[in-house]
Amino acid sequence: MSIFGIMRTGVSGMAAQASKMSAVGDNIANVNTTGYKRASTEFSSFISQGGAGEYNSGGVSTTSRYAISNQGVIMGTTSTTDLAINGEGFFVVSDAGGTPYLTRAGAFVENGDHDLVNSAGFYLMGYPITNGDVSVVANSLDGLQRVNLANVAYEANATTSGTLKGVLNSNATVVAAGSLPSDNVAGSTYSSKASIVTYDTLGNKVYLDVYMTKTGTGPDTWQAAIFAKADANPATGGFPYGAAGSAPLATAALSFDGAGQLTTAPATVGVAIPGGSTMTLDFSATSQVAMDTNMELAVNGNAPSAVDSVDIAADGTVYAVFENGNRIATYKIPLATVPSVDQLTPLSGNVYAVSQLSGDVIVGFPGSGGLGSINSKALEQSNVDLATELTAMIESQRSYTANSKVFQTGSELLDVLVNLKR
Amino acid sequence: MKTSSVSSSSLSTMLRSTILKAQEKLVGANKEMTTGRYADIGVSLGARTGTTVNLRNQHDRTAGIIDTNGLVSQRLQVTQQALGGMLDTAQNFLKTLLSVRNGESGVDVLVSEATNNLQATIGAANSSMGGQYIFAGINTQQQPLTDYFSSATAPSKAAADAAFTSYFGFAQDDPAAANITAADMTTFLQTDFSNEFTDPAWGTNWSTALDKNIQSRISPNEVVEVSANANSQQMRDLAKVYTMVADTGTKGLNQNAYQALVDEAIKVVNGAIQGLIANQAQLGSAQARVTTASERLTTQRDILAQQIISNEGVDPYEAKVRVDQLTTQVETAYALTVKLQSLSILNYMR
Amino acid sequence: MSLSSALNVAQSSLSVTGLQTAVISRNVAGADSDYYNRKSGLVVTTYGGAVKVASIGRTMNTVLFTNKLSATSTTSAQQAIVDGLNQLEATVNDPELDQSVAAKLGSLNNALQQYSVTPDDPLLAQNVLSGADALARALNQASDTVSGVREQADADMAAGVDRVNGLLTEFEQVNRALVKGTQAGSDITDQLDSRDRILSQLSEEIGISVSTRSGNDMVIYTDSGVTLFETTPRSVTMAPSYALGAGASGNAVFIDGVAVTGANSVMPLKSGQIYGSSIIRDDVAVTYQNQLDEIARGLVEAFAESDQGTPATLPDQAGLFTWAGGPAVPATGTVSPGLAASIRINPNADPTQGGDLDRLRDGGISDPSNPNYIYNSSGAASYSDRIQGLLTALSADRSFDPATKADPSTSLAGFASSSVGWLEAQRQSSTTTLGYQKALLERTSESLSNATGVNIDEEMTLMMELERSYSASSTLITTIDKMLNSLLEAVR
Repeated sequence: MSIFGIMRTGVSGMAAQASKMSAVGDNIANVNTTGYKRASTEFSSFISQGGAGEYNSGGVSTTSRYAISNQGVIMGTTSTTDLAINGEGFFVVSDAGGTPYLTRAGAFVENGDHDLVNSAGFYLMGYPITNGDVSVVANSLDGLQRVNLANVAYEANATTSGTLKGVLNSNATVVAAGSLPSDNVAGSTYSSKASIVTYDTLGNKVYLDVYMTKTGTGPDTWQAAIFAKADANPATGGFPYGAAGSAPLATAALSFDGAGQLTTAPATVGVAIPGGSTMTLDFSATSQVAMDTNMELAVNGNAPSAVDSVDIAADGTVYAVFENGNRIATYKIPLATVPSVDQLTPLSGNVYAVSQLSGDVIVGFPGSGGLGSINSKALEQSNVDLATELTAMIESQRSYTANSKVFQTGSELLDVLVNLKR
Repeated sequence: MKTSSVSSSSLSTMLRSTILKAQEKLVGANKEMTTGRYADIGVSLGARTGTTVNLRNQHDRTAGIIDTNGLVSQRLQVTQQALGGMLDTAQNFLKTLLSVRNGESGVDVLVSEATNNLQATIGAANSSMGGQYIFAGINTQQQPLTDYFSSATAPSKAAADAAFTSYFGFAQDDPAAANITAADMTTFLQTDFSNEFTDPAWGTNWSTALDKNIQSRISPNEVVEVSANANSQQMRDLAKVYTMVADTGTKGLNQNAYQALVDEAIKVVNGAIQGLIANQAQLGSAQARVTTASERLTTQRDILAQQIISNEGVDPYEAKVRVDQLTTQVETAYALTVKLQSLSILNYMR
Repeated sequence: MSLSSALNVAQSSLSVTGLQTAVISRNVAGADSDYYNRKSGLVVTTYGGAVKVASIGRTMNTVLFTNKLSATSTTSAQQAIVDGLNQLEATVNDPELDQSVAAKLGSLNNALQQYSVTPDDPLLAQNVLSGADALARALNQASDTVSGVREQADADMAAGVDRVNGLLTEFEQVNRALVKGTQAGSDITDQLDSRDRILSQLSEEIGISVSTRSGNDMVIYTDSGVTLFETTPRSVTMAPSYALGAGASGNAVFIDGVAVTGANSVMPLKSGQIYGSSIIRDDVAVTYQNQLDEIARGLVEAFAESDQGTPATLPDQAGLFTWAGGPAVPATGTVSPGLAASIRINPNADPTQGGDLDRLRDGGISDPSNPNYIYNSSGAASYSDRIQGLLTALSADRSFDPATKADPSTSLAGFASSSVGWLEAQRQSSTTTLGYQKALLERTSESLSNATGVNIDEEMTLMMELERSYSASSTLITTIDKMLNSLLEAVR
């Protein structure tokens, strides 16, 4: 038991309250910081052993805690690259040097190098998608790259598949052999015609003319003949394509049963697109009924065009949206978490480093294992509550005053002691 | 989310189109009410418009024929009158001839009557109507008979004189005429003199009329002859008998020749009278046909007019009712528009 | 929860209310537009109770819209046909006015009848000549009218083709924006409105059917199945014909290399203004022209002069009415194209052109120098046989080309009135159909407008709700502010 001990206890109390005040100050300062997690200060008593008849004053020690697992309110914004996580996961970001961190601050913008950078300057990391596959390494941040929107510009895809669906008119007049479209003569006639835009390997548009012609009855048979429009006779705009009698790009014979269902199998035909790939055209969804022919054609492939905007889906897939409306999945943004979220080490810029206490990082995709989903056009607000902080501040102030009174009393006691010798 | 089942736009459009449609109909109904005919005949009748055009054509055509039939029957009447005059003259002459034959009248009376009659008959045959000579056949622009007494050189007279002179060797007023025998006279009258009144001498000296008579269509499929002809046998006979008595030296003949001449004249004038009566009867029947045709056509025209009206016409009373209904409809639509305009929540918001 | 999150939630409510008010004002602004579909902000609650507008919704009824498109096409086709028929009807007009060829023919017949009774009256002969002249001119004018109607229809088709091309170009832009917007998840409702507007306008010109592929990518076909738009517009072409006289046929409309109008078309259009105009140009007006040509041919035939010599060796020759191919008489029983345009009275009968009126009565109009064609050899003034003959010829049955669709064996007057009947029958049935289709279109448009349009009253009541919500949120913020204030005052 010593008077100095009392004074030291008062000092330790004041220091502890100062530390708490600092945390409150930080919290109030960051009340509007995206993805900020409230800091709090926990106290623990420090007892010095005394005898049974005396009490040795100890002190108080402080520990900082972060309410990292406590989710803030998600507020809507208007930018597609503003991301918020609804769940427990974190974005994986890296600094300029490549060190990975975790963060909940998702206010990303595209910088001059087409990387997605948040307001603290950290790069969003994701798995590049090549040919639709993502190679992910569990429990590791390996293989992650900066999400960059530059390297997908001007991508062209040749047409490789197409479908022709719809109905053929069962009452169409049968065209005699010799003047079928496949004969490709000036007098060729047909039952119906449609045309479709396909793309060659360079992304050039290739117009194909698709002729459907009824060739017989009982069983009803049809012929599909496909020509490149570029070969069409300039005078007639149609037959003959190229040299009269030359073969079409492709022909297919279709036959239908009495119920109008297609009996030809397999109902596909390969069409060698001039300058492009071979398109597999699928007829399987055609039928023959007594109504006007109505064919619908659809093909894949696209012409080269620049990236117009970026779209980020709830499952973390980053799509590059091209000016022609096509979109391509370019990255998949993973979410990461650790076993003890609140033990992560906070660093400047709302990022968290994995520490010994937090445990190893676990990487997964949005929607899996409680990692939550990604909301585009939204930001997570700070989880600081002003009222709590202000109350804590008042509380802390009173405690500080009380501790200073302890110190003051100790000092006065010491004064009395010093004045004994006079 | 869509809760309402009526849009502001359809609310106003519906009323507006109602008003427009009613107004359009109102214009038509007004026209029908005032004219009593469909406002747009083509649309109302469709294929039957062809029928109504046809009916109007027939109506006009029928009316046209009725008009021309008036002209035809006028012409027939004039002709009939002329023939009637000739017939009277001829009958009187026959009486005179008979009385002369019985010695009751003198030769002077006979000759002067024949001379007058010839003049009158030629005058009657040359009568015209509306610039047309009615006895000229189709050659209506030329006076059919030459005037026997117009001058000494009238071809008919010259020819008759020449015939007499060549036959007897002297002129009519020659005293030698008293020596002509009854047989000679009869032969002369029946041959050389008679030849003067048959073609070709008749056509050359007497008549410019054409044998063909004027024909008129008195109904769509009925044609009648509407003239008497100066070339007809009775006209020739009349001319012959009057000339015979007036200008074959009658006064200078001996009793026998005179008797023979009178006998011949009676025979010819009898034929002429019969011919004239037949001609009159023929024209009379034509007149009757024209009258019947006109009556029939008049009925037909009235029926056609009736058909046109029943085809194209509308009941003006019905049209009037429609106008009233449409007016009410438009007024209601106006009132509703105003009501709906004021029926807006905006009027209750502040 | 905490005061700060309460503040955040109240703030989100304010911004959502603001956005929804913006949507309502868009609705009110578009309330009177036919092509505006009602929009609404779709609000979702995010974590913590905050709200945000996830997307803008748009009311749509595809079935009604498709019905409206087809009703529009059918109506505009019918409208074009009725317009054309109404123009052709100018050649008939009210029967009371006696403007039609049939009525003029009747007048000529009457004049002849009067002349036949008094053939020596030159005034009546003049009357016949005037009647004949009026008839020939009426035929010329009717033929001109028909050509004019066909040229107008041709011009309408060309204008329709231009409009279709313009609309398709516009459609390409809107479609591209839609595909992109759909992928990007942006607000595409205005583009959808534009697309519906373009489709509506397109359907006025041409019957269309549409199908939507993935990503809101629309493909347009004609109602006959020819591709009109697929990724890019297909070529729609028609070479205009500047003059379409009798016998001349107009050029077909080609879409994507396929002829879609005309008799030889494999995939002919079924509706739209272009279709309606093509029916007028290639069918109705042609038939009517043929009828006029047949009337003219019948006239030349009826008034033709034959050889009066015995035996008759010379061919018949065109008399009072002659034509471009005169003095020969056109082949009987078959249409001679352009005859109605070239028919005129023979100068040999017209004193003002050095002719002689008496030839009407005497014959010899075709060739005054050839005595074989003179009927009245005597020169008699009241010769009426020729005139009676003409009257008989006019009322005699003769054979007409059955392709004219009018009564093929009847008198000339019967044929002329049968032609009037044919035209008016077409007009009547077309007008009736048009009335029915207009009513259908009106009804469909009304249903569509009711299903997708804006009701201002509804918007206003919604706005009142939003106003309440806004002031409640504002009050919340004020209250929270006061609460924090009292806390801050406690800090001393």
